[in-house]
Amino acid sequence: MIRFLGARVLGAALVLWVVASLTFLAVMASGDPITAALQSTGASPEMIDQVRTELGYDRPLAVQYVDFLAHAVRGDFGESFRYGKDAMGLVAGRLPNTIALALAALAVTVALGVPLALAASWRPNSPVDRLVSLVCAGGQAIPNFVLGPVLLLVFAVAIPLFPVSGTTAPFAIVLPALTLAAYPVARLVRVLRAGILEARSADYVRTARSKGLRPSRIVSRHVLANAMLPSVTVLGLQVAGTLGGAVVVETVFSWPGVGSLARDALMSSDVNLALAVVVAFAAAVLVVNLVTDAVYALVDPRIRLT
Amino acid sequence: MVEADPPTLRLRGLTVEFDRPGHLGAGVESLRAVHEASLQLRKGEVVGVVGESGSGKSTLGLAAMGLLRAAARVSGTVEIGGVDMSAASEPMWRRRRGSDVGMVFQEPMTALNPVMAVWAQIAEPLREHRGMSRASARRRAVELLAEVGIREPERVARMYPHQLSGGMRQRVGIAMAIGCEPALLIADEPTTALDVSVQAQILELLVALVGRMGLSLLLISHNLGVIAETTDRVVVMYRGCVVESGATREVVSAPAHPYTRGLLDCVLSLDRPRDEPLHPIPGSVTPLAGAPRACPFAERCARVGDVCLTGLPELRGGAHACACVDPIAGRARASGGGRHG
Repeated sequence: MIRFLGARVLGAALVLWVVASLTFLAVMASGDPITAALQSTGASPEMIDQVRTELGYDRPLAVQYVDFLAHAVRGDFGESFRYGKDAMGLVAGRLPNTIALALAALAVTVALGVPLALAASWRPNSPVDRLVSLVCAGGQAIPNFVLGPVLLLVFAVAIPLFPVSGTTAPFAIVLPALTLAAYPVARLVRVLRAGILEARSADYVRTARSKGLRPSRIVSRHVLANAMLPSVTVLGLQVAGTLGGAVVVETVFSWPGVGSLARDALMSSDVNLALAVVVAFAAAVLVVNLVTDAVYALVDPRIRLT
Repeated sequence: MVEADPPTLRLRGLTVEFDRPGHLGAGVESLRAVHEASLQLRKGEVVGVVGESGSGKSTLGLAAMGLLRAAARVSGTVEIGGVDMSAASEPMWRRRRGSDVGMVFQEPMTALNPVMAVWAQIAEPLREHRGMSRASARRRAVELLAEVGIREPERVARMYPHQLSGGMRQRVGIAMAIGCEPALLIADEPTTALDVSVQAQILELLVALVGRMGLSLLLISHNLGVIAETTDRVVVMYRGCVVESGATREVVSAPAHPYTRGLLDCVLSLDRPRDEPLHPIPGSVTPLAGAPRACPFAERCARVGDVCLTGLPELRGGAHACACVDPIAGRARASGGGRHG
């Protein structure tokens, strides 16, 4: 277990380095960030040059890259141009909101997905199964920048059950979490439904029946316990995907998370902030993957972490 | 005649039919997996059901457990311990399964739940039927592992199926089936998936349990060698029909039905002369569609005559019964078995 963790942390560091380097190069390749940021403010070319020299953007790219890495390993991504504050500090300040949203979306996914999958697999190709599969197709097909505003119009404007934006009102998290969960729910239902159908016809379920167990126990301990194994992988991938979806959903709902920060950074050519956000997202995805592996080992005794 | 002790299992005229979509979606085809099968097990008796794949022997075993899918149409009677279960509801069946009747399955690799510890799987029926606490069910599970001949039962109890060998898994399967001390154990090809040396150990264990616990064993196998060594009586099935039944020693030494004879000719043994060729039965088993109108074996029988095609021969002859219009005359074979020890 220790060796497993050690290897994974080492691998994660390598991935982070590659992600940071690629992002850095991409940002630099897309043109001089200072010019892009200041041109619209009406600054004179002399002022722009002065700022570039002050911030070190006139140095050769290789020197800037080494400098960037040297600071980045200490979590220092420089100051945000826009906010004038430590970029990683800003990200860290927004992170709890995004984590809360991702966890809420995960909870919604499980709370909706498991019953729907059970209902759909109860009688394959029954009207219920068809209805669930239709709903899932919708969940997968409707993009969240459409679903979000629609939910807002219906449940915040027409029927004011939930607030239109922000985090302060109770239940403010419900609509953004629902929007974010729409796609993962559809994925989970499909995978879990197939898993349940496969497990239900497995020999060990027949054995369980031959022991005279009550149906609830057969479903929970024998069918679901085996059917959920592939779903764990799907859920892990979806949580990681939720972080990407957060950029859109947090913007739609004015949710002050890392996603809306990423949008701000890109709109205002805030290079340091953008780099900090990308590296933070990459780190979050790596953590989610590690947790997924650990959960997998927990629910499937055949998996050993080595 | 009043019976003092009802048979642990009695099947009378058991018929099982499945519907399956016809070829190229042409309506529904009805297949008869078991046709009018009858058999009876008394306390402490070991009865074998033998036949090729597709002979309906596994379906018969599942019907006796009430484990057939909803798609199966079952008629005839299934009596367990003198109680007619023909019209029993699923909850009634559930209370008897694992408690009065235990079942051991063919594939120990897939018959155990891969994500549950061994002890928990053995403890399940104990908690369900005996209302044992978690702790006492666990203690009993360890004892049961010892009873089925597993060394270090305490350690094995904590393991998962993938950590065990095939033979050990089958022992776990047996421990699971006998936990509530059922009167009847149904073993469907319990040794088919195992190495030959392990096969013998598992059969020995089953026979020992019959002696120790006084249970009846219905042993289902395609292997007449296994049946000959283990059982008191045998029922030979072909295409869902019982074609011969009787004391194992008699059936093996003097088979009356050409099919039984054919099966015996396929059993390899060390004392068979090396240059004597095997005589496999030509062809393969085709399922019956509906009630048979001729001898089910007629199409593969070397002794077939016109009379065989005119109707289904009745099972005749009392203790050693045979369903053939032209049974093979009683001629003792040199080799053959009967139950050892």
